[in-house]
Amino acid sequence: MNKYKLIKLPVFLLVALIMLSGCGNDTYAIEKKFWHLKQKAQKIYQNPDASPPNELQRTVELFKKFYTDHAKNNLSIDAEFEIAKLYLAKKEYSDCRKFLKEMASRHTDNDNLLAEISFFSANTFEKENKWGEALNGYRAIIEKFPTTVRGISIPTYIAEYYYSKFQPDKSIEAFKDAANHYLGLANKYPNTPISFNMHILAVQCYSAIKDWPQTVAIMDLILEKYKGKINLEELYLNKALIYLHQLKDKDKAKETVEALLKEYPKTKLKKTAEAFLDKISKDAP
Amino acid sequence: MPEKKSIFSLIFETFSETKESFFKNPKIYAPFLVFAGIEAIALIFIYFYPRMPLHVITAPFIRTFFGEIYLHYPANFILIPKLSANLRMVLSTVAGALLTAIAINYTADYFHNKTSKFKSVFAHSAKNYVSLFLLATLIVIIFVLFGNLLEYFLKFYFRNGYRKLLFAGPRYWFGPIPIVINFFMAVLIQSFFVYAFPFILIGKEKFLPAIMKSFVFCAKRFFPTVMLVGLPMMLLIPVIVLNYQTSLLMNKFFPEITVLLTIFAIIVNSLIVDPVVTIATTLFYLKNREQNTQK
Repeated sequence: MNKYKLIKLPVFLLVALIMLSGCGNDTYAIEKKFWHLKQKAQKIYQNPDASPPNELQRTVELFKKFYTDHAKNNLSIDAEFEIAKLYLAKKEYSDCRKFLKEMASRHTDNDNLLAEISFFSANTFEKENKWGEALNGYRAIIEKFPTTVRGISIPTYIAEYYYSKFQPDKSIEAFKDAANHYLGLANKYPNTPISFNMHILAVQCYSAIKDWPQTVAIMDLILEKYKGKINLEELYLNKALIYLHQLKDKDKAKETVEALLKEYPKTKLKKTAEAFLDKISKDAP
Repeated sequence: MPEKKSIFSLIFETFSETKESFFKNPKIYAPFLVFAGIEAIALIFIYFYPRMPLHVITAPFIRTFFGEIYLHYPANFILIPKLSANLRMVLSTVAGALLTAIAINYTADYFHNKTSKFKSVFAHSAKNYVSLFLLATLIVIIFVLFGNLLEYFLKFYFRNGYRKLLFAGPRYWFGPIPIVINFFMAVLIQSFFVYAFPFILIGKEKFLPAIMKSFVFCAKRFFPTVMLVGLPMMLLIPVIVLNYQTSLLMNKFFPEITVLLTIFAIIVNSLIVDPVVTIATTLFYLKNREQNTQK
């Protein structure tokens, strides 16, 4: 009999575990509920013009119920954004902005989220072909939330917008503004990871507008400032490439690669660097 | 002098005798039903793995071997067919070996017109459990090893800059071709090892001699063996094709479709292919054995 008792207990526990599974309102159950709601929203996204207004209202209500019921779950924020997306898909811009304003009032303690909400709100103007209002919104984010992920990305977003709209003058100006903004942030937060990232973004901005002397100047600044603190192997090589292909200065290119090999004798880029030097010496007149 | 039959009529006759045996002696089929039942319970366990309270036990395992994403809806459904297939391998070594042995013993009794008693059949099967377990494990290891070696070779080959292997590029070599190769390999591996079970249980051979004799038996009767194993296994092709399209089906219909596919796979595998292959090859073995003794 004791033998059976030993088997009965684990079997009973296993059966109980299986029977209990799925009964509770756990994270998985919430994810499942959210996925099914998203499928409903998908129907509207697929053909927003054809979907009836009451379908939008019904889906919005379901999402509202979801984020109220599961306010502590991360998906509640996704649900809120889903509502904004639905309004946007149906081109109900003012409703969308109104909802985003309410959403912002619920999350006053999270700068990254507030920046995302503000970006979404400003973006509705862009979708509505009201670039002026959108730009004001984007600038407000740069000012209010400069170090958030969204806040950092917006200066280049503006420049790329002008580029995509075939406005090269404005795009160049915006890239310059962006570079200055990033350099300003780098100075504001010296000796932090933000500072290094801002310098790199400034390099990207100047290289986007092909301002090679400025690009190289900031690269030099980075090499001087972060030498020995961060791995700068690739930066050396990129600088050498700019000297070779853009500024047509073989001596400087050679000098930069030699500096790379001197600074990082065991670099993983050793073969590339040596091939580079070889090519320069072969091409020499 | 007995009339010499063609290979095809021999194969057809074996299959019809297999069908007849299931109807005349349903006990033969019972172990396969039990195995399908065990698989179904395992599937329930797999279905609930991301949910509380099972989540507490399963989460570290899934996180380590597959990734965090598979603990969330609906990604967990992508993993269900794979987990089920892996669990089937484990079950076929642990429980399948014993249940197959019971079915083979029932078949032998049926063939010799003996009445079978569960107790004696079970005792005889249990007595050979270690050998059968090792045999089933060996088959699984060979199959898994082959699949992994093929994958390793393909990765190594294409990483070294080659753009084509034979007639196809990486798109096909990492897509449908290995599935086809694995299917034919499964037929081949199964064909060479399939008689080792009856050799152990009926021929009373030890582990290694049983494998050797199974190889020789298969080599001597290669075509009928491959047919007896391969023809029922062809029923697995729709299962393989559907499993290959899991993500597509999930997107087109609903994530839970993978559970239905897995149930379908269990039905085809455990209730059709396994019984037919096992009993047909056992009957084929018994007939050959009888002919040899008569000679």
